Amino acid sequence: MTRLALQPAPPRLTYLQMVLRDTLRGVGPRVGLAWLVVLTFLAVFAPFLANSYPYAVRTTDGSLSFPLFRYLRPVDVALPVMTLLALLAWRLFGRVPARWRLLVWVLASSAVCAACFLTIKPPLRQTYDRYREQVKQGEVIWAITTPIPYSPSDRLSELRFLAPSASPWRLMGTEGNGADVFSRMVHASRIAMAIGLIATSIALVIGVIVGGLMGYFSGIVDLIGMRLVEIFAAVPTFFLLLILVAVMPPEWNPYKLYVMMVIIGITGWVGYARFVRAEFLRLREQDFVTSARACGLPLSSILFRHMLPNGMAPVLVEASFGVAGAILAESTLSFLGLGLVDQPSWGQMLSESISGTGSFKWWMAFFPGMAIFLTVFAYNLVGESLRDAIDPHTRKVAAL
Amino acid sequence: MENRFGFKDLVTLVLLVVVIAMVYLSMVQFDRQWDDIKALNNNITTLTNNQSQMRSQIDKLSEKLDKGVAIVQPNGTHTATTDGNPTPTASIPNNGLHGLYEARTEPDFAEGDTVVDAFGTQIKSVTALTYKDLYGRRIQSFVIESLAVQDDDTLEFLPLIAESWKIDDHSKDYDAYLAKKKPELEAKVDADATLLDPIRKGMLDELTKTGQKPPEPGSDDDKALTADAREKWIDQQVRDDPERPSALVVTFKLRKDVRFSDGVPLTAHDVQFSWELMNNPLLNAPETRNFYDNVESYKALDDYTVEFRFREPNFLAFDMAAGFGILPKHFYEKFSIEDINSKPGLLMGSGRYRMPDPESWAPGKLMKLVRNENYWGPKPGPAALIWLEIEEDVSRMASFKNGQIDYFAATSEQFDELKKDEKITSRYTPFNYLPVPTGYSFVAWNVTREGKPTIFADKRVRQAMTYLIDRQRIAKEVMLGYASPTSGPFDDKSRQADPDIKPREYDPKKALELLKQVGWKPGADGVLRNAKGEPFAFTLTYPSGSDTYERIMLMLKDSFNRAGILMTQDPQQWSIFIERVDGRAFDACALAWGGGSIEGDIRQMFHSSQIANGANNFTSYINPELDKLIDEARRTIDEDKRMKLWQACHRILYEDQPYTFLLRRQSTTFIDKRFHNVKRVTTGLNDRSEWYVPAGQQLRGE
Repeated sequence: MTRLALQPAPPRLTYLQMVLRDTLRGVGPRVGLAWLVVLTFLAVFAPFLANSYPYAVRTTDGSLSFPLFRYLRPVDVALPVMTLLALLAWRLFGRVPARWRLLVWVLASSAVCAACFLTIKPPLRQTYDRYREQVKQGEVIWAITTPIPYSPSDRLSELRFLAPSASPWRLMGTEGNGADVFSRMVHASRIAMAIGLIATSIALVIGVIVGGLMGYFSGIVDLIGMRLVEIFAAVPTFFLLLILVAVMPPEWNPYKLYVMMVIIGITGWVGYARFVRAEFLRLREQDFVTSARACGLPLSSILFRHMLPNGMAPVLVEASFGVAGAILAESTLSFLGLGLVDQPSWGQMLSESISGTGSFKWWMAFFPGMAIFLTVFAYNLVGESLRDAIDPHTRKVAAL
Repeated sequence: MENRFGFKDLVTLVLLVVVIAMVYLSMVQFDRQWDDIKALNNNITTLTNNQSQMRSQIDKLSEKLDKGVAIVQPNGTHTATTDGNPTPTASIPNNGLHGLYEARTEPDFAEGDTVVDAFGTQIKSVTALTYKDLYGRRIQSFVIESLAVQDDDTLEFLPLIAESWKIDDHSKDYDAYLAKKKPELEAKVDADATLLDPIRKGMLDELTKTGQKPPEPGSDDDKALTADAREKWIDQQVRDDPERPSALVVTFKLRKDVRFSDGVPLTAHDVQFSWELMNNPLLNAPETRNFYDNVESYKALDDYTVEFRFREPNFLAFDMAAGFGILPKHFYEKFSIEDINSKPGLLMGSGRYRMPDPESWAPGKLMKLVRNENYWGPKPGPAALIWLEIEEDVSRMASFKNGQIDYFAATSEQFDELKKDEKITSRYTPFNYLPVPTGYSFVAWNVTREGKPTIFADKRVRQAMTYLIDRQRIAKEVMLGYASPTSGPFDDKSRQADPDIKPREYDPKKALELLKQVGWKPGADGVLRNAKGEPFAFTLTYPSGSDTYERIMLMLKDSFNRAGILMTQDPQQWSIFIERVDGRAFDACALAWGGGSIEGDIRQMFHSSQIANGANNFTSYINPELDKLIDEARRTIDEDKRMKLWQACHRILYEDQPYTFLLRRQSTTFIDKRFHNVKRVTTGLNDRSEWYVPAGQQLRGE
């Protein structure tokens, strides 16, 4: 006879935790997420990973200097600090409600940003070859350099189009102006991540507001809203982007990245609006909404506090595909030569792989091409798995 | 009954598609036949014309024979212009055709085959006079001939359509007239200021039209405007005075055997017509009209004599009259001015090649010239010339590698790479040479912006900028050695350039010293700052889209940065770039000048009269001494004296550095080895009509 053993109750999981667990069940999404984490790391710490300035230099005249830190720009400091704060808020203060943690993080990061942009004034002039000169003169006793000892705009024009095999220090070779490809790849991940996330956020905000209003009010609002959605859905985003970038007033050139984000954002909200509308149409008749309305809660509270969290899941899935799309759009524009001036970008590097002579520089095609492919693929993997995790139908199938 | 898409429907659909396709194809075929028929028709008309002319000539001959003719020893074909001392080599006359004669004396000379070239852009128009770009001009040069041509080796003018000419220099009379008339006019205008009113009004209208504010009455600007108006009025009076002597009179005697490609003889009336057409104010060719402004009159004295009169002495006067393309009156007369303005393919002349159809070419159609079988001189070797239009650098090279192009103008990088390729060099000869005239690239430093002097106003700053640009390195690394640094606007080997001036070497130390004298000293962070602590920063505007430009600009940026100067790149689309330059809204800009005549005229870029109204002195650079030298050089007909003046100009420009003159780019081309008689000459390569392919090696038909 067997004794009944006491079994510990399985820990009760929140919906979010359940979804996360289901999402990360497969190998694909895990790999995808890992790649995204690596990419985020590269993007956040780019200047600390690839920089011509060493962390610290001890010279023969006895002085110790920290060139890398002197040349950091405000954003180079703000990003890592914000990321560390986010990690801190996530891991350390588990007891505090998520809402509070988020609020504190937003406040703290704004303060950090403001402080950075107000206090940090890097030198106007870049002197990449100073350290190299010192080494050549034999003035350096020791120095701690970054893993990739080249800045993305440190051009040595006598070393153009070096293949990766040509130098042990140039792991991915050099591009047409003699800048290091690996360094540019790392710094370009910033632009890719930024454009993906910010453009999608813009689209998400517009989509949720328009879709929420349509779904909640239905009737005439829905009718007009859906026509608006149809109109925007009929606009070919990429051609619009091409035209807008081409006719953009030249004074905006320094802000091209932001213009691109906004354009991708304001043309991409249609899908989100449709999803949110469908969810809200379903939710508006449910009891908790009726009771919230009966309690006399204000509209914003009903929409965003009560209904949105219940209707957000499918939108997030769509958003992860949206990020991939935005990254692809930026790469394509840069590939066509309509991207940013003198800033590293995967698409722009890719376009250099076939030079004017028609000769093929494989390293200029392989590395940026792989980066674009992997990133887009990773977002799609994670998005798909997220969709399976929150969709009750597929979950049942999986359970069977 | 269910209405499904069955097999029968599929068959019907496929049949329908096939029928539509066949109708379309037959339409295309019809179109082609139509073109062929038109070309045939053309040929037949030409032949009939020829025949009738031949008949009349034979009639004349037989008449003469009836009268009795003395037979002379035949030596030399056309010795009209040699000085009457027939030498054994006189069989090749010293005129514009000597290259063709020489080619034809080669033992393996053969007619036939085609030269295929490729342009990097679409040709927009080839109509005479109204074409707008370099490409149109290239095509024209094979179809239209002028009275005389500059020999591509000796750079002397050789007779072509004209068999001889006479130059009467009246510049002394002209100067005497001016010396007498000018004080009279000055006195007259100073006595009665109202004479200036119409001119002043016109100038004020021009200002308001371009969006500028008219000056306050009584202000300095207003006084300057009045002074300008006074000058203009005097010029106008001189110009309109019927008693003013012409400064130069050139009389050309035309050959009697020149014919247009349709067989009609070319006479002095055609010459007069060509000039009248160009001077028609309705014709869309204002720049050309402007250029030939100095030509006062052109008159056919009889069927084979033309007389040109020039208003003022000018060193280019003879070139203008002699180099102007002669158009067939009977052909262009058929069209209204609007037609000539709007039709892209109206091109006919007396040249070695002709359009297969002189009326109907349009952009997008194959650009092909065929040999003019009626050519009045010796016929060239290649039966046709073709220009493909391939915009992409890479695809152009791919077509070249596939053997579709015989004459390939490569970029420096392509040239460098292909030159090492044995498969290419076994079939094509690489040529790299500095053509004459060469263009040059430069960085222009704007000295005045919005009425205030800029940081580049001091010539020491401009010199320092030149010292900071490592032109040798740009030539070596970006242009791969197919360019050379230049010290001024004149070709370094030409007599216009002072041979003692060498381009400034890269010398940052000297640059910093110069900048220090002006007050720019390195601050704690290495950036140059003036007494007020402002950093030395400027924006460099340049046309976007070119990799080469982009790379040069990056090199400049890095090099200035090293010296402590902050440069911002500002690539702009061509149209916006031109707008900026015309509006003087830039700190510095990079650009290149190309083309022009063999003896360059620098008034356009550096004379202070070319600042106003968006003319080409866009840096607002003023040097009164240079102005005077330029004016004098242009007026001087004596070549030796003129060259001295140009050299003085060169010295001033070298000292002042209104531009940093960058590089002169070499031509880098590959030419198929089957073409023989491809020769290097002073201007570059000899004309492709002088090439030929020996009979056994011919590759392409017509």
